[in-house]
Amino acid sequence: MEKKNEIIKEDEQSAGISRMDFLKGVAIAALGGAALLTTKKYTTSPDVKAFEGKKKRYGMLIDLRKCVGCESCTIACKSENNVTVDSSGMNARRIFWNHLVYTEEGGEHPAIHARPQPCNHCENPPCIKACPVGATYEDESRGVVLINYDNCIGCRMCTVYCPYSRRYFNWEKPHFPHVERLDEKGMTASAGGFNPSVQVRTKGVTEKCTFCIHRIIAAEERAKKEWREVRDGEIQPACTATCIGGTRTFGDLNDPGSKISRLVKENKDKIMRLEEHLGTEPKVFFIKENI
Amino acid sequence: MKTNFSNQLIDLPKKATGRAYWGWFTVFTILVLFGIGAWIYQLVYGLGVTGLNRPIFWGIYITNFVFFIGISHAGTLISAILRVSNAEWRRPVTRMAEAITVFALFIGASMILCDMGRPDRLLNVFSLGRIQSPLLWDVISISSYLFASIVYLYLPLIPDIAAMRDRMTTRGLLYSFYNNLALNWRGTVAQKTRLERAIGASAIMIIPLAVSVHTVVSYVFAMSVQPLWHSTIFGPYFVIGAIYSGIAVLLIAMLIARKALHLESFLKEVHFKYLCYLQILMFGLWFYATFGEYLVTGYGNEPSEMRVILAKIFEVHSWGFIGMFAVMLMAFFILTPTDRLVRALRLPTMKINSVAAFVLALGGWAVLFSIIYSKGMNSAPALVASVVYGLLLFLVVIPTLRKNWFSIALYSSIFVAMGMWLERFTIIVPTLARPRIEEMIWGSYTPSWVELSITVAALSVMALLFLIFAKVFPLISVWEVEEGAEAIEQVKTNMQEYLPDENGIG
Repeated sequence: MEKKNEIIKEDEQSAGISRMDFLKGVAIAALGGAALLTTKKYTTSPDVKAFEGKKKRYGMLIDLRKCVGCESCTIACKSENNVTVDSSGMNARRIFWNHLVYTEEGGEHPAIHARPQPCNHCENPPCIKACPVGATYEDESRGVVLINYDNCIGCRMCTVYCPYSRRYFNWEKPHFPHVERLDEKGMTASAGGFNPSVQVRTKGVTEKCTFCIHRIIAAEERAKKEWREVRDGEIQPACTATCIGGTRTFGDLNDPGSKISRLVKENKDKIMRLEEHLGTEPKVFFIKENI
Repeated sequence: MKTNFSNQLIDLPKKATGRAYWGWFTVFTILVLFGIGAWIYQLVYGLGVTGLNRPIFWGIYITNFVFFIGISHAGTLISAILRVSNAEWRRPVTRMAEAITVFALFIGASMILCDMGRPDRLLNVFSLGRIQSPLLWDVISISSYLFASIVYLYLPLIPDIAAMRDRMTTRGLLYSFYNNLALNWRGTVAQKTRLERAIGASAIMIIPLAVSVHTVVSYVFAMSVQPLWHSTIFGPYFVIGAIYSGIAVLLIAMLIARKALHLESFLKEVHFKYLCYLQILMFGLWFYATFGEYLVTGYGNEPSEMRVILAKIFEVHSWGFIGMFAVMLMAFFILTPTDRLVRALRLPTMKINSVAAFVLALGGWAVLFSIIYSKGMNSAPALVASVVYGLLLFLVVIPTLRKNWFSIALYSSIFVAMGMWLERFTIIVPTLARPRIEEMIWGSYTPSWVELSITVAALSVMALLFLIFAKVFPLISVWEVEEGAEAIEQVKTNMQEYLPDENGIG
């Protein structure tokens, strides 16, 4: 301590602060202050900082060899995400965020093939380019394409631009017979009619699969509370959780150790994505059935 | 110089009212009110009341949008090009063309409002607008074009408004209306020079603007990767179609005005003849673009594009595609002297009532199409019906409809307007009906009564605005027609400049 004081004293005596130096000091202090103000403050511990900044790229792998076409995923998705229940008599207006596409095969060994089809959450989504108000956007830290239902103007540019026809429009006011029945009995919707963590849409807006973003966020928060990273396989969208055949694998494509990354790597020759030539880079992978 | 017809033309709006005027006014008002009612019904129950579905997210609202924005090109582009190129015959035509432009733009823009799922959030386009979206390009370009065409309509109106003000005997509200709009116009030399410079400048500036508008409208489709939309020809193709349908609607409006207001001595046969010549050119360009588009994509045989082409020709919406070609070819036969060819071959032609011929042309087509549709293209009944229909067309229908340039203009324009609407329909719907993921959905679409009544209302608004305009302002640019007589000397001196010198070579 004594030494330190001596040095300071020496400094003061020998240097004799000039006007130039004073101005320099002020300038440096000002710059330093500005730098301090602009730097983002981290209140969490250094360990959390390390993985909070890491970008996730969630994707899904669907092993068509295991799919039995039971449509459980379709139903799980509908009830999980408060999707309207058949609003009109028109088949072509029904909303299925997850849709099973069937193809028939004739010939000597006739067969029917099912292909579950959620939103592809493209790396390069045509829908986002088309939206005039930015209502559809990419959650950049997770690589998920989402819709802000409160900003959507219902122009249907995105539905028309999606080459996979994976977007749906609320032609009418969403209809929920089970909730209406609860209401009739004097119970409120919160008594179990709706999933409270998913926003109910209004008529005239677009909607589509969100990879169950509410489940992703919930898992992340849980992990944050427990001072750890999200474990691989911890996040399961409703369709993945319900699948009886274990057809679906959901996980982070950026993490080379995750199950989905490993499966994509292992089955390189059997993997396909839809309309790859369009350059949309879908994050939903399929393992082909007939190989 | 005041000629004897000036005051007649200035007084025209006052004379416009008769029993027929108010009759049509009432009819169109009722149709518009019905359309507004249908729109309110749609607002309450959502777009579910239309025939739209997945994957056909866009239907006749967007068709109407493209069609009306197309019509708006008539005007300004024609009148601007004719002004810039000093085509003297333009003088009685420009006013109506410019008026049609403004009306059609309003209606086209309101069609987007009808198509929106949440029209209450319209202002999001301005507060949250993203320039990356082709729809926002539309917003920018259409709103600037609307502003420019209002200015371009208004500038040449100023001297006429002043003349109307000067002819008024009373000093009421109407007087102050015209007085304010006339901007203190006295017809001094300085004012005239300034006005002509302003008109000249805006005529030149509005041409690229008009071209950009329909190019950008086409980009709403062409920027997507959907089969048959993702095409580089769409910009020019849409502009050509826009001018083609625009002139057609202008011709129909001119014919109605000529008949209703007795403007026979202003809108002469030669005006219709020249505009019909322009239409032949536009047909050529339109056919070239259409032919190129389908040949290129068809020859390429890319599966997803081929599905759309085959759907257009053979499947549910083929009435649109084949009907488009039918009416367009009919318009072409009416525009060009095909009857002379028939006479040169010494075939017996026959003339009937022209309205009957028109009905025959369309009715015969409907019969032929339904036979082909039910029995197949190569069946015997279809072959017989085509031969009968072809003979009917060339020996009876076309000689009748080619009576003079008025009837040529009228019938060809009706066919062109129909054909261009069908073209837009056939561009929009079949592509949506056959999306890339082929096994997923096969769509079909039938417009509902709500969509049809809003469409009828849109057409009625057009007619209604035209009626109101005719009641308030002269439909013919009076001062420009007056100047036409003075222009003769000018044209003479202009011609002297480019005639060969008398001494010739050496």
